[in-house]
Amino acid sequence: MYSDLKQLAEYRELLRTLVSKDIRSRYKGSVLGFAWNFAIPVLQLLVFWLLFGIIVKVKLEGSYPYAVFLFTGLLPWNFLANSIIGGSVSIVGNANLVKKIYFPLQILPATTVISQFISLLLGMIVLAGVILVFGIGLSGYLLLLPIVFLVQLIFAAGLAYLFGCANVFFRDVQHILGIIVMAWMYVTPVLYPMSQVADRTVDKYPWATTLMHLNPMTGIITAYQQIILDHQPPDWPWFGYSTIIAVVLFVASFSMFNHFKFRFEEEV
Amino acid sequence: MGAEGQFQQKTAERFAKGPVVEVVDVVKQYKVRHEKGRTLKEAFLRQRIYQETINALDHVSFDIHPGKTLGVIGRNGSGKSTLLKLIAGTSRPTSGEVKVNGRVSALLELGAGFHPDFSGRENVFLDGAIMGLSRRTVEERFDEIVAFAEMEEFIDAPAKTYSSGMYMRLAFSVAVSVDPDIILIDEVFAVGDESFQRKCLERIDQFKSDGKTIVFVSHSLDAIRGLCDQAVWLDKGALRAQGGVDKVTDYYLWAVNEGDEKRLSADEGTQEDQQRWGTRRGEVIEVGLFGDTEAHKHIFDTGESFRVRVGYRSSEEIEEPVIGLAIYRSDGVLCYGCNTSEMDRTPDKFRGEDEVWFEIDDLSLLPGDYQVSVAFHNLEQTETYDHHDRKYRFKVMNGPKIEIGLCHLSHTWRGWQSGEE
Repeated sequence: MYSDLKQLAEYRELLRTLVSKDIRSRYKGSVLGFAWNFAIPVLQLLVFWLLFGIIVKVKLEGSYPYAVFLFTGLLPWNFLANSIIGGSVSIVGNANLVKKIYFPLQILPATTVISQFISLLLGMIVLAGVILVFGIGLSGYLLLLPIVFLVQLIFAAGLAYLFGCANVFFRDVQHILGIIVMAWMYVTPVLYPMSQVADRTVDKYPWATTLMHLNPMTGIITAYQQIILDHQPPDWPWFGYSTIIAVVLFVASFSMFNHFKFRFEEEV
Repeated sequence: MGAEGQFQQKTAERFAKGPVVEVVDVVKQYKVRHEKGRTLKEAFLRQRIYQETINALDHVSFDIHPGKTLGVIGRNGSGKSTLLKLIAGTSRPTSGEVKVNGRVSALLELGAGFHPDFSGRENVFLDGAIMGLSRRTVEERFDEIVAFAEMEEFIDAPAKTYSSGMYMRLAFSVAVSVDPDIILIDEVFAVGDESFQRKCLERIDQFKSDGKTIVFVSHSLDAIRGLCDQAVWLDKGALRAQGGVDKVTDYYLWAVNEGDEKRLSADEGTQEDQQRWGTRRGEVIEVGLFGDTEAHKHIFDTGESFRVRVGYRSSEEIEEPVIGLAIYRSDGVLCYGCNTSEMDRTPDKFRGEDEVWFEIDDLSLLPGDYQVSVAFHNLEQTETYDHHDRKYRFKVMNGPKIEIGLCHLSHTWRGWQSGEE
């Protein structure tokens, strides 16, 4: 595990080049080009806002508009979703490199995750603008944001390694993930706040509340919302739970990935 | 085995430095299935999948010493590419060990890191990074890389606008700018036009004179002989021969021909009869091709010595025996034929066992595949005892550069200058 991580550090230049290729090639050839990085979350926001803000009318306790709440959760959610889906094809999609050129294969999922993380940071710039426009203001708790970033990065990387490796041996993974990620979003407080789910379902569907609490993304997304919107520190026990899950998952899947990586060449 | 052991020992003494690549009893197994990628259903329900294990490499051991150029020959599926992958590190042996001391650059997949939407310039940096070059190194060598590829004009155009030749030239150029200790080359010379290919070969020669170790895989024996000083021959994953390039390629070619013959005779029971006929009152028992030495040889160069030994015997007395020999080109053209009746002294009667030699000091045949027929008959040619029709094959590999045709005819050119006067 340690030597595999060290190798990742030794090849950081390649990692950097691949990340920059990934980011620059993503919207290459399109008219909007780099602007798509901002356009996609905004358009996505528009759709969800129409559906859940105007039609369904989700109730919020805070003093901020629903659209801002939605945007705050959607950005980190997109980071996770794209890391999982991109990570799952990061080995299979680079069969050429995997077969013919020697380099530490743990670079490939890392490339996807880091490049998606940079998209998240770009989105955060837009969010900062939105927050100022709506007069929500900033607070000292924003200094805690890097910790949340780090935990989510570790969690996303863990999943990228897990599915990247699994997909080499079972190609079903990449097909089923789209559905899983969609379902997962609905048990994460992205579209509606945690409090509302608790109110509505605790009697009828207690398992739904339990599921949301067990979901490690709940702690992470809620932390973003609390820090950015509510000017509060994160709910430490829940965030701590997410952190532990993230670290354990990362260690397990990174080790698994490195255990199986020498067989990838035969399978891709 | 004795000879090979001796050879290994000798080279070991010569290179006290130790090998750069050690392949120690390597086995590489692949599981071959109907389809790649199991589905979950098959995995969890343990459905029976048609699957067999093949040994892509089967207990292979050899060393490569610094500064040597090693050719790897063998038919398709003999494990050559697997071997390169193991040395490159993209794959690991099932058992055994591959020890590599030094930096490896594999020219296995050219332009693997290229992105069609990026410009040539960006791709040089990208591909360079994948090949293990630092950004600074690429910056330093950038002009050199572009100049070598002859791509100065197009370097800022997107790679997707390149012709396949341009693409490969740039990729090759990046690949050879890597400064490795060990270079793996897998038939990438089908790159670009004639003049670029020559440049590639020159670059490889430069690697050689810089003392780099090169492992070269090719189907072309010509290329192997031209570049390598040592060779290994893989046959269905097993190491059939290793040693000097001439020895191994000769042996390989001989075995391939031999295998073809076996295959032909296995295909057709009558093959034996088609290639051999006669009353068998006398028999040709052995035909061997030689060069200068006593070792059997099947590959010659134009101008080399070419000798054929024909062993024959007869259990009853036959009169005025004559041994005839003819050389055909593989397309059936009779190149030359003659017989022993032109000798000063021929026996009137013969019984027992003996041999004759047909010797050419200076083989004038130009490169190509040839076959030898040997016939044992009487002087009047009223009775053929034993005729071996085109049973023995040989190859002429290297001839005079500009000459074409069947054989070299000694000649001189005159009149160029006098014509102008």
